[in-house]
Amino acid sequence: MLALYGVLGLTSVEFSVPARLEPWLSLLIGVITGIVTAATGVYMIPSAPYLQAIGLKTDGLVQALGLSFTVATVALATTLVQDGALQISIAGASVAALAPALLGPMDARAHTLGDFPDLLLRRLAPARRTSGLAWVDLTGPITRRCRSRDLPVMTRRRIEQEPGIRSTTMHVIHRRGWEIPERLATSEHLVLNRRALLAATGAAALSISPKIALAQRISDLPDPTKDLYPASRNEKYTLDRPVTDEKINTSYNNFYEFGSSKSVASAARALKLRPWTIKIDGMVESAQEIGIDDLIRKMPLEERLYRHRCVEAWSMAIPWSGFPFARLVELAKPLSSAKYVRMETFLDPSIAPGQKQSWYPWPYVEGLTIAEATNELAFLVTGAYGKPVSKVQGAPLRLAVPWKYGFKSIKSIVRFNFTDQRPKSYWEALQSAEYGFWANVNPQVPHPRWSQATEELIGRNERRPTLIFNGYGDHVADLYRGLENERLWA
Amino acid sequence: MTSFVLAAITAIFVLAGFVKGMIGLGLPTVAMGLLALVMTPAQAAALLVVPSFLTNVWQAMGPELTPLVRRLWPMLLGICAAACSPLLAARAPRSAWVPCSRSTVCSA
Repeated sequence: MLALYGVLGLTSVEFSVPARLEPWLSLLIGVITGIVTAATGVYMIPSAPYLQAIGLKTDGLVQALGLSFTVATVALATTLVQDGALQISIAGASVAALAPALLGPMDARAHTLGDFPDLLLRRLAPARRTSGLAWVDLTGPITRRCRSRDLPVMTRRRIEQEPGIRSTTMHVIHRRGWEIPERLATSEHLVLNRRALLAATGAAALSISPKIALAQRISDLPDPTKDLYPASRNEKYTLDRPVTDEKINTSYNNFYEFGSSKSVASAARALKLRPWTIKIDGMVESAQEIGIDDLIRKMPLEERLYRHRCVEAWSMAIPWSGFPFARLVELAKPLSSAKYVRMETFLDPSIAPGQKQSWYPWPYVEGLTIAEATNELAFLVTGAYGKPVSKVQGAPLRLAVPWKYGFKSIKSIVRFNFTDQRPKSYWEALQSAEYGFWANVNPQVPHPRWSQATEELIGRNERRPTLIFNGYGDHVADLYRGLENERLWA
Repeated sequence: MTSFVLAAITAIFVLAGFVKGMIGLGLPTVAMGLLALVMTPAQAAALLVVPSFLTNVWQAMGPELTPLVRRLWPMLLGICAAACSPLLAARAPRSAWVPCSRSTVCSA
């Protein structure tokens, strides 16, 4: 069984599972795994390859493996008890064996969190496969230097392992990420991800339907607001680091509507940007619906350089274009009884495959207090890098609240609902123990599963200490006076 | 249990735990293969239960737990039903351990 698994791993065979078949296939795989477990004591066949095939993100895959192994272990223990093989004395020794076993993973996790598990699991994840040889390379000492979970550095790491261009990459490592010559950046991407690109192209060719093609044509029309960019920069907002390269910024995103990996740019191309209507309702003088182009043309566009700190301990720096959220609140005319604004992302499973996954609480919802929304930092984004914002970054309208973790900055907004009830956000609904309403950046308050003390600067192979409120305390700290009893930080 | 065996068990579990911590799987695969050198496979399997269980529970905790359970419940149910089924009472784990443990190194 394990040999079979090894062969599968080395031959780069890639499976994928159609969503409609998944529940039945899950049951079948579970039954086979159960039989194999009872017969051999090995409980990763065929469940582990199956979990790799259903398109889970790295963290999700690790967790799914843990979950399935947990259940299998319980089942295995039950059979051992039935057989009389699990004697009390041995079970006692089994508890004692826990200590060294925990020492191992804790040590590995603590010191290499973000490198090794991710790295090797990317190897395990079908979409990331390159060749059997790459796995061997990845375990080499060279990978220890790199401390990141991110794709750009992964890519660079692969270059290091390509003997032909090793000399070039020595420079890349020591230079700043944004100083990579354009020429090199392009070739990295194309050359090193050619297999993934070919696979994606093939998959796209297979899945083309007239509907998608039509949607594609509509969204390929020139953006009607293109003439408004680049907007003039508001020099008040400065950075302590270079702007993240646009290519990196648009190839490393969380956008679960289009899939749970970081590489969702091609899937997000299915997003239809026009017509796009924004609904403003709830506790307002009068509810209204407004077309995105009308809204954008009513607003004073400007460019702001903002840091963006993800809850996953990485960060970017982005030249957003847009308008202050306060202008939209003025337009909405909320009643004095309104305390919060609740925002919703589009909901259209026909273009966003992630939204077909009913175990997520779609649509994506986020919320701010009215005081937060009218703070000068709260920014509604319509553009980035001097042009209309890309689909994968949340076109045509997204939020940027840089003093909060990135998941608060909701994408592709269709609705602003003014209310006196605190909205329950998407991630709060999914896992309130880890993600709360306020979610202000604070290096002193760790995430339950990792430290928030430092952040990886995506594309720069560098970690920096994280600042309280992501360095925007001067603008926003006053918002939270008197709220010390709230869970402000996660 | 001699002190050599105790030391061996400790070293084996540190190694197996390290593998598990790095790639998210492999604790029983590594431990089974190596423990079988110093004890019978059935003893080894029994010794594995608690560490294997707790490291997996730990690994299963996280933000995706609820959606994963909702998504994968048919598989989890299938594992339980099949592994505990009395229809499989005639299983013969003892003879199957050895080929399993030999191939351990490939997958770990």
